[in-house]
Amino acid sequence: MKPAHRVPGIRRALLVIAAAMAVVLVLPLRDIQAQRSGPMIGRAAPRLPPVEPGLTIEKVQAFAEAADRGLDYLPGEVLVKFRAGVQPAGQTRALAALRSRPSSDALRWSGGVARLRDASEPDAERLAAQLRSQPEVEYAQPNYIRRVPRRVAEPRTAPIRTGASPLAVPNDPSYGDMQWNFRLIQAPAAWTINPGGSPDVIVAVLDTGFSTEALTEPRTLWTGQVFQQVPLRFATSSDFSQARVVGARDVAFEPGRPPFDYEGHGTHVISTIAEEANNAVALAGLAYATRVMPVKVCVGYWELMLMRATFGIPGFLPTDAGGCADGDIAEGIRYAADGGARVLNLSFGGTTMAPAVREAIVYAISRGAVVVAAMGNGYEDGNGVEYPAGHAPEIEGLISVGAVGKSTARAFYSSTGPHIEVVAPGGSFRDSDDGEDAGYVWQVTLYPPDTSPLVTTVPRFDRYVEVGYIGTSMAAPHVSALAALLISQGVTNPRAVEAIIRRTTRDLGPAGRDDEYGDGLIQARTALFGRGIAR
Amino acid sequence: MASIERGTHVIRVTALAAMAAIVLTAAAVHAQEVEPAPADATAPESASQSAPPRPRAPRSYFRGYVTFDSTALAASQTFDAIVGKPRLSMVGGGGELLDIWKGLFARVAVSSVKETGSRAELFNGEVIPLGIPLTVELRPLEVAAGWRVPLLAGRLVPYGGAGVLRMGYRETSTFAMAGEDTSETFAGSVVFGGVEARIVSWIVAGAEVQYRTVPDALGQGGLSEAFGESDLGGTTLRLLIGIRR
Repeated sequence: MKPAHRVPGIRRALLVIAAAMAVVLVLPLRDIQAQRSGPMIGRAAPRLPPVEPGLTIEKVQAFAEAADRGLDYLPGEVLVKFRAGVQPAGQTRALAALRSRPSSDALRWSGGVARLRDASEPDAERLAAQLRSQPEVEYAQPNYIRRVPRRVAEPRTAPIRTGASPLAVPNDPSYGDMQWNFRLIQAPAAWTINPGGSPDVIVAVLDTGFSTEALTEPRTLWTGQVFQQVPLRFATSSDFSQARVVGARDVAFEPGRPPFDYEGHGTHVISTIAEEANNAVALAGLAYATRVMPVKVCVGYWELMLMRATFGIPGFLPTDAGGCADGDIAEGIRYAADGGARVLNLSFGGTTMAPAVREAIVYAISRGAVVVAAMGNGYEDGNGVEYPAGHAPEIEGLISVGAVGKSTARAFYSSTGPHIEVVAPGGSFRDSDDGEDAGYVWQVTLYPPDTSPLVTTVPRFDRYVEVGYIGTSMAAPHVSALAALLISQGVTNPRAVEAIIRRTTRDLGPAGRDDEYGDGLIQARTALFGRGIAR
Repeated sequence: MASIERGTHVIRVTALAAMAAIVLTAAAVHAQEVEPAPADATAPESASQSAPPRPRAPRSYFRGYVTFDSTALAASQTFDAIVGKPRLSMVGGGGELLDIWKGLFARVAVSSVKETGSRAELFNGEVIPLGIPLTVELRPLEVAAGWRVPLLAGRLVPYGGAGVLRMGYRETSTFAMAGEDTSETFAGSVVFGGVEARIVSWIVAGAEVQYRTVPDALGQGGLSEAFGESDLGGTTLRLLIGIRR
């Protein structure tokens, strides 16, 4: 029997299994997670909003369709905000403008913004336009898909080194050889002033996730001919203490479970910010004493494949399927801000403006959080403005970050424009005079061949190595970490953090601000040292 | 740096000139006092004996004093931000040569203050301390001259004067790297006025107001640049106790 003919039966059976798993597995995990995020480190746990459904099968199919058709939004899905005071009756009246005439009960709310799925109209731009014309609606937008910036080079890998380096400070064995990026921004001198920041400061990383549990579980996966039960292995990074993880949250895939990283991007970003230092293992993070809050707002190939298999849908997806939907991003931003995060790192972007994300960013800043966004890697691909970084000039407290290589020249991929504010090391293989690999930004993350759909049909997420990536995704966490260090020194106003970081840059390119480097390359030590009377 | 060296040179020359003037004036007055007017050799001795005694010019004399200064700094916002106070108290001392010629007097005085605070940042008028200790020392040296007008048989003496100021300035911070601490001197000027009263025959007490200006000493960096404050002077209220030898 062909797999396609078995689908309805399998679907029904798997739905039952999934429901049972939700009761047996998910709920206890929520309890475990709540326990971990609070008393373990002796601080109050962040207030956790109720769990929303994450990746529904409709959303999976929407991601797949978007990948197939090259859309930058989820077909048939919009985010809508009604004007203040509009009651459900008014909402229903506004929704009546749509062909399917949904009621307000069809709306899924998050932070005052509603998500609406209308299967009868896949063109989300049209849906949004119809809603925008209604007097009850403040704004409506497609649920756009942002992406962690496309890879501009294959990652480099090296095994994790252990053993204290006798000469380097910190003593992590690969620090001296590999982490040129920290020396470029005065990190060693900054650490003498402020060694790694404070655990009172929480940095939220909204990204592909960060595995906070070691786990092996059987999951169903399409492996080419049939669905197979395969053991999915997860492990935590060997160079990150789980005691410094707080409020980890999966918004996009399986809410209530740990925000497992199925790709490695989120783990790399978190490692740049806060990888353990001075522990004689691998590499160091810049703000290694802070706590991190991984918030999974992006899903990729494996999450979509797993969910499709759960519902008995055979076949492979395009390897670049997935992304970070605006609805999840906005929800994740509000969750992080409400949960006490003082810095939010957004290493993703898209070419469309999104009122919902913009509004969430403004909300987070109003709650005292600094928001850092990557400029994007599209310089040689049209150099379009990417958002949320594109909002930076109009929002104080939101910092847009471009990338430089080891020579401090702008990285060849780093997008430019009037919205760039600062640059940080993002790496480049074109301007390193001691070998291509030496120009990458190295941190501990998942072993890339284990997670690449181009390499394997049965992934694993339990092996960590030292990995070199390049991209503005790598530059942004340098700024997030510096913001965390400044906050731990008492600079609590997000606008002040931005002003200090920008004022203390090292000017690059033409004198003064320019569209390639913004105000210049961040200088951690200069920022932390502040100002005296005469100097 | 060139302007600082020029300023130092100017104040050195000015101070030396003032000191020389004081010394020369004092010497001349002393000569007046110790060398009586030459007697007329042809005048009869009786005439000489019967002439009324010439009024004796007052002798110039020296006295030392200690001072207690409270200075409202011109760079008040900067100092308030860093050390938590816009006004500094200084203790010092000096010496005065009085009655050089009529009510003319000259003085040299030095005082100092050392305060600790924290490096900081400024955002929209809000000062944000960063917790990095900073120590600042001010050491003003003044060389001045003025005029005294004794009243009430010398019991109450109003006075006024002006002079030059050499302001020693030192700023050090924990974690500072080469070139980030500063130790310099700046040239300035001072005008003052006050009144002193004799407590006993050899002790006087006085109160004085000074206006000091030390332009362009600050404002090239640090918070003084952010606040647009460049003068290291200010208005000083001085209490002094003088002791005549």
